[in-house]
Amino acid sequence: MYKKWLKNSVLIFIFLTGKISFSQLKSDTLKEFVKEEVLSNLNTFSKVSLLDSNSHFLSLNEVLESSFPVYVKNYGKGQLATLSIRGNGASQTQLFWNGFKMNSPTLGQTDLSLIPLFFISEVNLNYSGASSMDGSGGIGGSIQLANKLKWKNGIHVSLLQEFASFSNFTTGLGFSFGGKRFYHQLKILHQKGVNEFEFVDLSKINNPLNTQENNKLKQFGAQYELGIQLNNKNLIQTTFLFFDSYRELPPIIGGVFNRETQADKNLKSFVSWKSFQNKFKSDFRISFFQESMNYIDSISSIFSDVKIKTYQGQYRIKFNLVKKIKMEASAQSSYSEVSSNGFESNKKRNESGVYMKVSQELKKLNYDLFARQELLGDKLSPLVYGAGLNYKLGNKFGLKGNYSTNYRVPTINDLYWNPGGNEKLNPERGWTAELGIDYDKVSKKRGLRYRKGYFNDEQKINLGIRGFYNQTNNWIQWQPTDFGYWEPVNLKSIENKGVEASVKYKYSNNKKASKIKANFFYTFTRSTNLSFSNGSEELINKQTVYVPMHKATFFLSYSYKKLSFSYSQLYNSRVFIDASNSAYLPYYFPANTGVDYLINFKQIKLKLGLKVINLYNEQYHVTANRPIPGRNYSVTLKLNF
Amino acid sequence: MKNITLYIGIVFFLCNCKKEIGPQNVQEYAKGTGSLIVLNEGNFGFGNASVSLYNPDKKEVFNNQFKAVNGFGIGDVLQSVKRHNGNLYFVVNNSGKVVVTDTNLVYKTEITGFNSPRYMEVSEGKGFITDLKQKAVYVVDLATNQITGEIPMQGWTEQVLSVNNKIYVLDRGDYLSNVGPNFIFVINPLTNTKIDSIEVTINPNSMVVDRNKNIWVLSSGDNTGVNATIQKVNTNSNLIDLTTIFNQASDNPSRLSIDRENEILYFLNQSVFKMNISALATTIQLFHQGSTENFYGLSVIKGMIYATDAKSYNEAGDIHIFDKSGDKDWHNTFSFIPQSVN
Repeated sequence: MYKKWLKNSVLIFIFLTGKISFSQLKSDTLKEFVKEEVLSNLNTFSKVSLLDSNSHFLSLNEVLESSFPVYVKNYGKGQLATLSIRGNGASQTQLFWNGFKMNSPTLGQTDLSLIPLFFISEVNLNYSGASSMDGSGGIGGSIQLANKLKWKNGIHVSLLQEFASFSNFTTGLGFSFGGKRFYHQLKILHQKGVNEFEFVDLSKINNPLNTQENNKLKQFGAQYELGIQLNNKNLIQTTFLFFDSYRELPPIIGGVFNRETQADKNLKSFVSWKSFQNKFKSDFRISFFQESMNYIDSISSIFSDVKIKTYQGQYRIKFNLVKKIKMEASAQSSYSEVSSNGFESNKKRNESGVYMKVSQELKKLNYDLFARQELLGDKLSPLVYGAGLNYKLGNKFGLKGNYSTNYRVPTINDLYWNPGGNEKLNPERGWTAELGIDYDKVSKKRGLRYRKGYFNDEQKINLGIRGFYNQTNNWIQWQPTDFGYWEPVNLKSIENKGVEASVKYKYSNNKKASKIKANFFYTFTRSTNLSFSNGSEELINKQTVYVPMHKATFFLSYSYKKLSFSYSQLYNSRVFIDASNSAYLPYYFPANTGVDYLINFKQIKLKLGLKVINLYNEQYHVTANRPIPGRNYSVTLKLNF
Repeated sequence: MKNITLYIGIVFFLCNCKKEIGPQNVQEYAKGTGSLIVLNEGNFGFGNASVSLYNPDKKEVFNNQFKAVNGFGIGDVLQSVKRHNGNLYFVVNNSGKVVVTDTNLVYKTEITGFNSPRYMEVSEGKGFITDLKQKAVYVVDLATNQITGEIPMQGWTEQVLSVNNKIYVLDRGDYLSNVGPNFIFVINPLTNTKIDSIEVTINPNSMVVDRNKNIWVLSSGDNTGVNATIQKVNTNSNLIDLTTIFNQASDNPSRLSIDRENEILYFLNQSVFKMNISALATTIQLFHQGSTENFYGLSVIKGMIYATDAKSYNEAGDIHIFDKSGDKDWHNTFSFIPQSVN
């Protein structure tokens, strides 16, 4: 061990002095390093989305809404956005950044609008316990964000510029420098918007058009990534992300105008050391997050200031237990420190856990079993466990099913907020089961000029349908008390059941250089209250607020040579906005469309894009009385060399 | 190609036939009439405040009447209403406005420019409007419906009464951290100046005037040993005549209301309580024992007691109606967070 450490140290030293060249490394090994993770998902219907350059200008909520079976609730352009997965709420959705929990330990949520996809390379959705290798908390599900090194040799520069309606300007700069052993990447993003759009003012007689006020946005982010291939078995990756956001919070329609503002600053960093031996793979990771949130409503004299520091460490391993039976395990620990003017003193939280998964791949069947045990402070948390299986029916059909549990501990605010914090709260607990079938068909036609790997025609069809059932118990909700303040209690149990269906189609004609891609997703979610601890019997069996029963998305793209066209359509059925289901927001059906044109000039690639957002100029609210802009436009320019 | 045209056709059809924007009610609300106006405060920040009309003779409820009449919602957090000169002045707290309608709820105009308005009283052709955050009482010229001035106060000004041609303003102190002492301030409506102050128990929350022109004020006290009180203010001397102290430190009474004819005060303290003020010795008596209700507002009109139940705040609330013997007359569902009957 000491020897290895010495050798690694020497390598780092050599890098810093930069003199000696190394023997050739296999590029295959490099690829495996960069892409493969030590821990893998449960056999489940998780969804992975590799982000391409089209998502560079988008926030996480925009991509999730258009291509994931989740419901995104947002408060307007550039404003707070949260997720509902299969009927659960924002607090029951856990986000992970490179394997580290990133939900605020105070609020228990993550604002998706503060996650620009420019800095991320992969988004992964998992349901309930299926994301337990990274941690607990995602009772409904989890979103895992990853930075995978896109190791390219040489120097590459990319420049992005977007001009959009309502005085929105986004500039992105990427610079990477890669060699055999080292890879550096630096990204900088700057975004600015005024967002004074027109909306139908429902609070005035005859509903005139009015202009949204106090809706400015300013964001700056920078990310540095470094990859070091120590030798052909060891890789070090490190990412530093700094993000600074300042935004004004507009009043609700007809609400008083208080010039509220919110500033968020955060630093996220992690270092991973992956060691891939022949039969034993390991990954040692540490991270440090520092976040601050500052909310000001000077008219009401409300100044809220929260500062959080989180240190996390993980050790992950994978090896073969016996022939064909694989074992994955991890141990982790995290420590958070919070200061806020909502608490009487600074609060600390210490969480640690162990995780284990066994999986076996047989000819037609593969299955896995996992368990996770955590400690919060010195208290044992509920055991998380689950199992998944995948059975191949012929070579086109696949049957998948799984069961898993998960839980969520009360947030630091839930426990200690002054006044109201309730230290007697129990963790929320949930479980989910799903069963479904997939159909895959690939057909290829060879042309006359036969070359290896060359097809004139290629067509892929994928159909999937699955049913799910989940329950969440001990749901924590703040309730008014007799003493004039609010207090969180373990209020209710909810039940969600539904169906998700997808159709994916891809066609490429290499001879004509044309491509068609079409996707359709549909989700049916029946989310109801099962029971209440306070006897609100008339609310039993009512649909949970802000959970649409039907959601559908459709995406179509067509490209011919250097020109490409895309169209995307969203449908969300009406949502109830009160627990007794007496008021609702109507369905919405917005569409976007865009055209891109690619210009190649020697090594330089220039892509010009035009996009129309909310094509049919639909006036709608996602959250009551928070208007969404009507038809608007964006022009993008992307330069790569 | 045909399919695409059809598809685009369907899309346009779907987008064009849609009329609803923003929050809607599942139930259609027909216009109705009733002599009593029920204010449903609505959830803060939801913009779902509404006005119901109640006909006490036929026991009929008509919800969402302002929208039914005018085609738009009244705003965010409906705090109070003042009847004056054939007009109704609805004070909409978190919309920072006062909406003026005729007695049939037909919208006339609105007075804007308030910070966080609460209650309104009228004297000398002027409206005096209290405010949660402004540390002042606004003066509005009711001929032009413009704010013409502000009279500085200590903090959160709440209920306001006109007695003996003077304006009495209940001041609750700093709305975020009241440390007292707290006062009822007296204003001369002719000169718009503060002319007197009456110190009351810390954290006063509501006040009423009886038929002998005495003001009764309910204070909840604090958690450092000051218990809640009901105090009687003599408006001739502007001095406290009488103080009734609650026994328990945990008592947190609110929403003082009065039956003027029968000289009985009512208030909420989880249950509904009453206090007879015609007798010399005043004692507090239980009027209606609460159980699962979340009593939120209290009004007394023509000897009938209206106790509103906000339930979970996230659903339509009830109003329980009692006669003065405490027998429940009737109860019915109104809209979100019903808070007063006027």
